[in-house]
Amino acid sequence: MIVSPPFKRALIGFGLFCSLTPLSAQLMAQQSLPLSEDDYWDEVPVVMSATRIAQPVTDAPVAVTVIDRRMIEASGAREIPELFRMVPGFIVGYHDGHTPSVSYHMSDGRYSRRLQVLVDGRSIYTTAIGAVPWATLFVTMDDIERIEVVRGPNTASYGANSFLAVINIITREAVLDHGTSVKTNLGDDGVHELFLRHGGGAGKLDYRLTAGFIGDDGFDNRLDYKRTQLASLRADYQLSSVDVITFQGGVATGPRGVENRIVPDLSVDREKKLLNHQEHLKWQRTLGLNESLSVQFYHIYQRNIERFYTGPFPWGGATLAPNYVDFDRSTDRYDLELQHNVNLSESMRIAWGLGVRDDQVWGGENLMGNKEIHNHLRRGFFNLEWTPEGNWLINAGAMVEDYSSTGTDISPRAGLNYHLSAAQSLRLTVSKAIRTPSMFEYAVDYGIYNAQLEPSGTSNLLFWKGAQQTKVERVTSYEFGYHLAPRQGAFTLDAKLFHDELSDLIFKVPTGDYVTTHGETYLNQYAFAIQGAELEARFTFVNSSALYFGYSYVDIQDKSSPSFGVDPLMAPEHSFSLLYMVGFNHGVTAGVGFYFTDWIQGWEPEAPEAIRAPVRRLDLRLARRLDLQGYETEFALAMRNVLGKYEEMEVLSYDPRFQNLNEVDSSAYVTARIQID
Amino acid sequence: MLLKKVILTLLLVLAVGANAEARLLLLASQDSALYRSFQKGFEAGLAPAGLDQGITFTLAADYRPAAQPNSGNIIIAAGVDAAKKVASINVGDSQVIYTMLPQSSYHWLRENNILFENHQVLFVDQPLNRFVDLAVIAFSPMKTLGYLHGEISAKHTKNLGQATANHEIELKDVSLQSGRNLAKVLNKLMSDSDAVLVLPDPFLFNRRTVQSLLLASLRRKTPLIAYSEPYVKAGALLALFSSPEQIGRHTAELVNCLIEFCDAKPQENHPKYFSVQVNHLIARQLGYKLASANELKRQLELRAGKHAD
Repeated sequence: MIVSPPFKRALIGFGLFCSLTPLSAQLMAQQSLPLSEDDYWDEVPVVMSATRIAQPVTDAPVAVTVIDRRMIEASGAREIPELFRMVPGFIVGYHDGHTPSVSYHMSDGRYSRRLQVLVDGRSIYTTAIGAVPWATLFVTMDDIERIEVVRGPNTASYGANSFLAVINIITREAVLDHGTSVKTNLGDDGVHELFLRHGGGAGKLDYRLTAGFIGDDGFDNRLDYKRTQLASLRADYQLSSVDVITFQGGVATGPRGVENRIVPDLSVDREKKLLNHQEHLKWQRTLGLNESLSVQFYHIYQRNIERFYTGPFPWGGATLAPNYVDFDRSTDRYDLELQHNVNLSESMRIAWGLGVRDDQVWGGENLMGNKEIHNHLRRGFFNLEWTPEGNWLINAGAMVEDYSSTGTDISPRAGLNYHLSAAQSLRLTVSKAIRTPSMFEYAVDYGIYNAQLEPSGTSNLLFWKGAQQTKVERVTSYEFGYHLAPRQGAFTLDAKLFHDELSDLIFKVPTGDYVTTHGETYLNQYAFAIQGAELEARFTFVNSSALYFGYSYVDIQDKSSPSFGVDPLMAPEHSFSLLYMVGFNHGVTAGVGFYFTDWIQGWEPEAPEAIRAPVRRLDLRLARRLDLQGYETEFALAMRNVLGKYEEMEVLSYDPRFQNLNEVDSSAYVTARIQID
Repeated sequence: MLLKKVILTLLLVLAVGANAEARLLLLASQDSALYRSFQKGFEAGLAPAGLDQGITFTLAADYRPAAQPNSGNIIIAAGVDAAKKVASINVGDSQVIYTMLPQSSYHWLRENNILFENHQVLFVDQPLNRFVDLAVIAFSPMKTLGYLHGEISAKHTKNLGQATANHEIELKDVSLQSGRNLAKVLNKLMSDSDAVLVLPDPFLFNRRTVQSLLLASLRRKTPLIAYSEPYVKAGALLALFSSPEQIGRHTAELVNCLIEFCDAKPQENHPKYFSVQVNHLIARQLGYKLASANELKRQLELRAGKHAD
């Protein structure tokens, strides 16, 4: 509508007139009234209903380590996997600068296939190689609210592949991150990173946008740089007082250097590109004080682009001509899950659910012969917590999974907790868990058929394959634990004794001559028994400084027939961690982390010589927060591995060609962060 | 005193005889489940003598006052809108009871001369010492009570300070103003307090603040004591509140008292009947082993009895 000036003046005049009338006064009065009686009974928007809350640690059937924000910041860690150095029994290593690996209780190679990792409830375990794509997660350190590490098998709750342990990364609610911030990390080894975050709200919507660039040059004198661009969005929409819809999505992509090393001249120096994007939609409804329903759907896409020509590799008395190798691969995971949490009575609550999943894996010519395979999963689960009269608490649950590749399995768990007091509990838990073979373990065909030789001729180079008959791996776990958590005490302690029987473990087994048949095949041929003790303690001192301590003793025995053939040092006998966090005046904080890992079997090649000597690592971080003319800023210096060099988990020192190639040197980086609004 | 009662009774009898209209006029602010619950409690609590007088229930917005004053009647204005409506009625020498009124709104209405002078009021708010008693019962030994307030609820700070001082508890009051770093303020308050109390405030009562408040409570393991049942459903550990039915019942007792000429009641009243709600799952999460809601209520009533003694 176009308002002519005279009419506009009349409107203003009418407005002024109205402002002087009693009617206007009444309207103003209504607007100014402090409260209505409705305010006392209105529904409160539900954000953390009782049924979404995890059990207190004293009631949990297994040991759980919580890494909170303070620990994350004090550790000086730049990448998520580094945080797990502090968790009892965890082994962290780097195959190269962009391939970290995290395992529990046993040296598990660079792919660390036996660990489940969830980000806000979605499994990011890669179907193709059975690993966790740590380097292409678009979750930044600042996005994380806390990490819950379930130290023990937990298929009953989280499904297959929750085999040795479960890492659950919980990101911050968007409502907590309103404002705009910029952060940069700059340091040794070519570390150059920039992150932009913006969070805001509009009506019932809260959102957080993160964009960033991550780059470093990896180890000294190696071609293992990484450059990653990432962007992510989290949006929480309060549909009604009882309904919340959350969307999380993001993308990470970038190149990585891959060097000619393991088989010199066969796989030449090259660059590969990674792409990872994920979309996750979750609807949660609170049905009552102790009842909730949630439905979630997510899709994860991961692509690895890696093609190159082979070098002059000697083969069968001849030399390999330049052969084109296609190691491309992509995976899609579609997952739909419904979960219902309800209190059946005052003393009994249950969480049950149903889910379906489709994993699609495609591998290039030299990985899977350009084939795509699907693995369909249907699953149902329940977990029941029953608190009968007295001090007992019973946890019982099971997961039923039906995979199109490996058939149907049931993974049960039963736990008994006894509360010695409100602050102390004992627990005894027995559980069974499984790991399904990765699609590569199931169907990989890794090699070159009819490779061109020089000066003439052809030959197959058949490295390893999946037999398409690999079964699930199995573990039966026994845990006896004690937990002490005085309500307002300055000390918590958790101790556990465990015994795990692992069977049908999948490893590559020599099966051929590499020409007519594949040199190695993935087979369920091995069995281990792992037993030991773990201790975790937290102290909070009067000056608000805090100390976290973790210790693990592990004894691993080869129960395979025939023997696995590798030193029992697949697990470090002793390992411990200390993280001291302290705050001073003027916004100064400091963190000191010390980590010890005993003798351990290194990664590939799994040779008797590849034993790593004990490692002592000390990390320091000093930070100061300042208010600079109204802008909240932080400056930090992280000094890592200040005690000097040690060899990474992929032990190469026994090979004269790779002396000093995989050593971790001391390094430092600085962080600057400013909160703009 | 006796003579006054006799004269009043005569006047009432005459008024009833001269006017066939019901003596009790109940103006409700809304036609809603809230007010139906209030009415239920009111009817249940009314003494036979009150019922005999006849009751007219009507929605405040629909009420068309008679030209003549409603002399000798008892007008019950339930809620804010009904209180405003009464301002437009020639009440004559009727007795007026304002009920279902937030305390802060009552003071605002009174300061703006919207209330009839001769009245009694029953707030929806719990007395502050009842909240403090609940905190002491549930979380003893307690040293510090946090109080998060906005502009409206800040007015309770002084009285709350007195109530906590009686128990040798330090009150940590924190004003939440727009522009402050919400997460930082909440985390500090939670860290510094044994429990945190929230009372109704439009600034506090928005989704963003409530969400942050509940999350901070859980993360810092500091229990929240709230003023409404839905807060407990959302994640607060404890709530102290009166249902509309309980307020209706108490309102009826004030009416009974007027009809039966009992001893004079104070002009301003807090709900006599109340409920306690506990979220036991939150209690476990925070590491508290609390008595049942009924037991907490019983102990509160015992304390109230001691206060009365």
